[in-house]
Amino acid sequence: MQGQTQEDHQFREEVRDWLAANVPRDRRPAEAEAMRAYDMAWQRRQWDGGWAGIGWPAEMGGRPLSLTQRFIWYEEYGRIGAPRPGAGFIGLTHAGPTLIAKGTDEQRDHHLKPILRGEHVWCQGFSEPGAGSDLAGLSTKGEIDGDHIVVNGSKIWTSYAHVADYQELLVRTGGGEKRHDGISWVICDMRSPGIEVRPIRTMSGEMHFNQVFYDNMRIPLKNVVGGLNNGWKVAMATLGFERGTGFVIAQIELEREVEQLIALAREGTDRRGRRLIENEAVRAGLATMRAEVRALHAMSNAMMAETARDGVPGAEGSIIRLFSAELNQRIYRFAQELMGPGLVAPDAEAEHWGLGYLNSFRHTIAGGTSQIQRNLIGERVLGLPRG
Amino acid sequence: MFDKFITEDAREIVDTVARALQEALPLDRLSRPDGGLAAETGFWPELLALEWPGVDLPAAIGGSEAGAWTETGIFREFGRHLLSPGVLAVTLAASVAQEGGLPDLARDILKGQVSPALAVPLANGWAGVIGTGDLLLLAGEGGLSLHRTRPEELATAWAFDDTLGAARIRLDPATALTSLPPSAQSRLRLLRLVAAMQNGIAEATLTLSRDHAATRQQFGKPIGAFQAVKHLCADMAVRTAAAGALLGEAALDGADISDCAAAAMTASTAARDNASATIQIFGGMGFTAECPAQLYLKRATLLELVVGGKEGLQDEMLAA
Ligand SMILES: Cc1cc2nc3c(=O)[nH]c(=O)nc-3n(C[C@H](O)[C@H](O)[C@H](O)COP(=O)(O)OP(=O)(O)OC[C@H]3O[C@@H](n4cnc5c(N)ncnc54)[C@H](O)[C@@H]3O)c2cc1C
Repeated sequence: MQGQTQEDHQFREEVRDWLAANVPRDRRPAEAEAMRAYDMAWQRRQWDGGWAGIGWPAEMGGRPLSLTQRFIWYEEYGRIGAPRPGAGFIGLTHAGPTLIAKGTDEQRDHHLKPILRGEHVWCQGFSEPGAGSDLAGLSTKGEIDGDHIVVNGSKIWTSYAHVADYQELLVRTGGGEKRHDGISWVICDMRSPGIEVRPIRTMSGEMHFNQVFYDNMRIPLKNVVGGLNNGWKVAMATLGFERGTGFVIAQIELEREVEQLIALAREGTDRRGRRLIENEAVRAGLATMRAEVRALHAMSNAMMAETARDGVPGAEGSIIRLFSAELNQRIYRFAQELMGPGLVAPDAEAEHWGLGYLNSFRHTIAGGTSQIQRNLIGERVLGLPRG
Repeated sequence: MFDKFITEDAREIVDTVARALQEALPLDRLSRPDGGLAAETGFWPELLALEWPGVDLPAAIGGSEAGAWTETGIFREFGRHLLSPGVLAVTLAASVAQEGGLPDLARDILKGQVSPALAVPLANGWAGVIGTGDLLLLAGEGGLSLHRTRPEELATAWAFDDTLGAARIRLDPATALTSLPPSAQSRLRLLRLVAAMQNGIAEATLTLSRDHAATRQQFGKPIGAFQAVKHLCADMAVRTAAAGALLGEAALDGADISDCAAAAMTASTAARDNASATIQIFGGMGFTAECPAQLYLKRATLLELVVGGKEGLQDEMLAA
């Protein structure tokens, strides 16, 4: 990245040293509670080291770095292969930033530090069986009863709900002329009576997301964030946060994967005993992927610079998002083909690339499908009429 | 295409098989905990008694010599109903045993007294086993060979398709019960039957996607009304039609290795791409283990490996 000062270089050294000494090296467990404990322990370690809440205001427990330094942090984080936030993801990238922007002092005091200290897991209760791409079609009902909201309905695909303490929950609290009116963003305590969480197995065999049912569950009105019936605006603000620096980790990871594939192609031989790297089709694929990963990196650099200048991430975020999701899929499909029959061998390599391939399908669905991203690019970036 | 040229007799048998599978092994079995491989293997005695795996094999080993069209049509139904590759192993192992001069073994296989599994060669003398069994059919570049094994010898761990399992074993070529060269008739059969199963997968995923696109509503209309979804479905239909046409050619008398390879290659791509598109069209549901789309994807991926992967098929296409 351009414009790095001597200070930034020193900062990078500091980050590198700290990460090298502190990144957990043991495998992330698959079992829910152990996985949560692992993710939270890593978060706690970052807190103890003074590295929690990158970009958050200091008075809320964060570390308000310059944009360049934030970028450096994520770059080094990705480069060393530090574990992703996992169960901490929603708290750190959605719920926390939303409370910082729209929460009351009481809400911030109660929630922000526990997120940074790795004490609270948050999940995101937006999608419903009837409302996925069309989020504004959500129908989970919130009826006001005295100083409470009584919630009935169901959310689905809720990642980490089975280990969560809190949920950012969108409910329909008002009638409203337009569908976007009458939605409220509320803090839901996952231990409230009337809530039931049913895990759903993913195609990669993991227990990652859930369906959540609400049966007359009561939430105090003081848990509404950003004003009653104003939840759509609050939610849109939250979705924007994810487009920022958090993506950098994923990119660096992809970069590492491509480099690993190139190494694999240098070692491995094809069916005729020739080095894979000498196979024209393999060369073409690897070269293209290396260039594309670099393009992804360059695009986010540019977006970071723009955000620094204008204060807000632009609609171009959906371009990066789409490119990144589909590139991820291309890379893992290529890897799976490069492995050939090795995919059938029950070993660590097959598991790494095989799981990567299966999980690559999530990226063009979760958080807005590729079709929806294309609509957004057409309408918001290119100014084409809405379909 | 395939359906336009299939004979009346063959069609009748295939339809009967389709109805029986629909009843015994409906797709929704897969979302029940005991509904996967367990339900399928429970049905196997019946399947063997009906002589489906041996439908195009010689009567001398217990087959019913009903012809390649019938066999191809039946295997397309196996693909459509997500029968495991184990069923392919049965027919192929019997075919290889018979062609390799082991009629007794072929007979035992068709009677269900031996349970074969498919295996593909890995580096350094290892083989990767898809599922488990006591007889391995190794399908590699050198041709096809049969090997005895004991299921407990198979070291298992993570499996790409966890409904089947996977294992790794060292196979010594010298201990093969029989080996056939790549030009063997059984290899043509392998290519044709994989093409058939892949066609079943391509057609089934097209149907799943079409039905979902026509019924799932978002933004007040069926998602199939959006061109982004409609065009995915249209592309699936095109791939499926191409694969179906080549399957018909592969089932003709006198079809050669390049006919069968073209069918297997095109159908494998169609099956994989259609399954991938189906996952996307089902959205969040498509990413779950409950949705059959992912199983179609895994089966299509494994079946492609059994015929030598994309590259192996490319070689076959360019051989002459
Ligand atoms: C791994 C994973 C984790 C997730 N985690 C969470 C979570 O923690 N919290 C949460 O709230 N949600 C979560 N989701 C849900 C995710 O946001 C939705 O799955 C996604 O928004 C799509 O909604 P849907 O599943 O209802 O699909 P649908 O909206 O039914 O889409 C089906 C198909 O129709 C297409 N389509 C729909 N509308 C249009 C249109 N207008 N134009 C063109 N094509 C269209 C879609 O692209 C898709 O291909 C997760 C999903 C996954 C896969």
